[in-house]
Amino acid sequence: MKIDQSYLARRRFLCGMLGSGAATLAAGISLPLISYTGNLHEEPPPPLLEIPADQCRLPPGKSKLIMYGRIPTLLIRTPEPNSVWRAFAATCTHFDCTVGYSERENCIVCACHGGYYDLEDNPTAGPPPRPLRAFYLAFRDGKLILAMEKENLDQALSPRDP
Amino acid sequence: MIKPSRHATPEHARRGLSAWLRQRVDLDPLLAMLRRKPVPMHRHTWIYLLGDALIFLFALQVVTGCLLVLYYQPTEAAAHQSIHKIMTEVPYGWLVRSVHVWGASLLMATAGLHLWTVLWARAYRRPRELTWISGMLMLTVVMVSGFSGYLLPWNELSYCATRVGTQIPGKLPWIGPGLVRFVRGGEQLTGDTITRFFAAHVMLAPLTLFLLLAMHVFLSRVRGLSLPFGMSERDVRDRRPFFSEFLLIDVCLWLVLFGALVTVSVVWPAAVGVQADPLQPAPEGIKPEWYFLFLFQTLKVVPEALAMMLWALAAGFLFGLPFLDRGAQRGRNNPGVSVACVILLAYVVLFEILAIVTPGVKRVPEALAAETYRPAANLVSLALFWLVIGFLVFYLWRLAGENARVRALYRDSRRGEKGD
Repeated sequence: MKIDQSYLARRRFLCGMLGSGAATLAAGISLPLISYTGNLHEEPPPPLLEIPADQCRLPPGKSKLIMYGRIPTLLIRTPEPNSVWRAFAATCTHFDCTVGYSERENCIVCACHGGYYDLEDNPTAGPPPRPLRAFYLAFRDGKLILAMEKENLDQALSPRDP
Repeated sequence: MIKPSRHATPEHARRGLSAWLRQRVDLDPLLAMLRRKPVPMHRHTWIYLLGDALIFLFALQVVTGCLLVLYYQPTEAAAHQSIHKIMTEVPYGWLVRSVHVWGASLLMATAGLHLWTVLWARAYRRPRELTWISGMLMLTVVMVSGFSGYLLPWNELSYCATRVGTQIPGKLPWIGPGLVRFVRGGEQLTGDTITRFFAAHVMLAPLTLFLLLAMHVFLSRVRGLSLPFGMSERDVRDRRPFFSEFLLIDVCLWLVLFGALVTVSVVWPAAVGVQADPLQPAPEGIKPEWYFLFLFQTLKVVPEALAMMLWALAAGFLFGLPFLDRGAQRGRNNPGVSVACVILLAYVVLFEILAIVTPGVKRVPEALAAETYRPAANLVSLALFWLVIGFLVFYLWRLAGENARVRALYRDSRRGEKGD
């Protein structure tokens, strides 16, 4: 049977209208859903972290993992002589594994893919492409103060208004 | 000269893709099965739409449920907080959850209507006994799913309702207390109960429902759709192929249902309620969800042992109906079955009304602090949404009519050729 051409044209028109309507509806539904599923904003990290004296007692050559907001942070007291305090974001710049301090090798190690950083946070071996993020730190009244930005630390250490 | 590509036009590309797919997965037998069992068109054809509407509502519950589990935390400490966060902080979280909550009610109402129309049409007649039993099993699983989902917000209403609900099997002799411990994950309602109910709600119930649904759809396709009791082939005006004609009408109904759900959700977003506190007494006038009200009311007026016996009898009657009503397949009306069904319906309706008119818990109005809940803007969005739905329903209806017209032309032409 031969169907009249007008039927095909009409059908094509109907399908075109339906397609455009369906696309509009899909877009109308997708936009709120993208907004819903993409609600990934977290609390920003605090400008400062004050660690009480009793919680930051570390002998030289030892380390400790603490949370700076939601950022795991590696606090290290380097070995004697010239022991100093260091603090780094404890996530490897290669693939985000949590790094640790190796007392034996006196360096920072990522066990996932064998990444090494020195205590100045520079990558020394393995795949890490960049240094770890270093924190600024200082002691005040026996408390250890950590900051991600230098200005925040300077502001905290500046003499307070009477 | 540039040689034209074989897939230069969208039509070529579509044919190429279709051929590629057919070589790997031959869908022709499936499509043929969908076409082979046409839908009879008569004055009660609307009853065939209900089953497909249930499939749509189930799919919608799965989709909104998948979205909710992105933020829901099934622990005693975090369950209520996470629901509060979904309703007030997550963009459009109030909409997703409200569609899920109202969708459950609509699913239950449509399932009840489907059950009643199948009863009325005596569609359980031989050889469709298995279709009926799979449908009854699905109704049971849907009720379990509704009950388990009700606890998850961990508010005082759901907490108390679940205490009562999980205590009901405890009245069974011998196995009762053990059954309660199994359902609750201990003697009391705790975080362990949330974990169990969460697992039942998001894994066990949907998976069971999906398998039963596959069986139900397969059986109804194999056996075809039955004509209502007392109707003969003479009453059938036409038989429309499911795929390409009846499905389009189905989609119209799905769009309207979806629109109705979104509208109700915008106007009356689901409540969060007060966090459950085991140290607080049950609030006065506490009630479960509307689809369990008749069971709840029965426990108020009938001794529990008698109530459970009556429910067991009713469930046994409904499950065994195809075997009790043997005369229906020979066209004989069984007044006993009709009376029993009417008594059951009257019981459900009467006890629902009794429970509804009893004063309930006074709900504290909750202000949704969500940035995306702006009533005026949402009403404008709703109007646009209905405009698109109306547009789609109009053209779907026209396309279904067009398909039917072309089919009639083709049929008449075949008759003409045979006549020549």
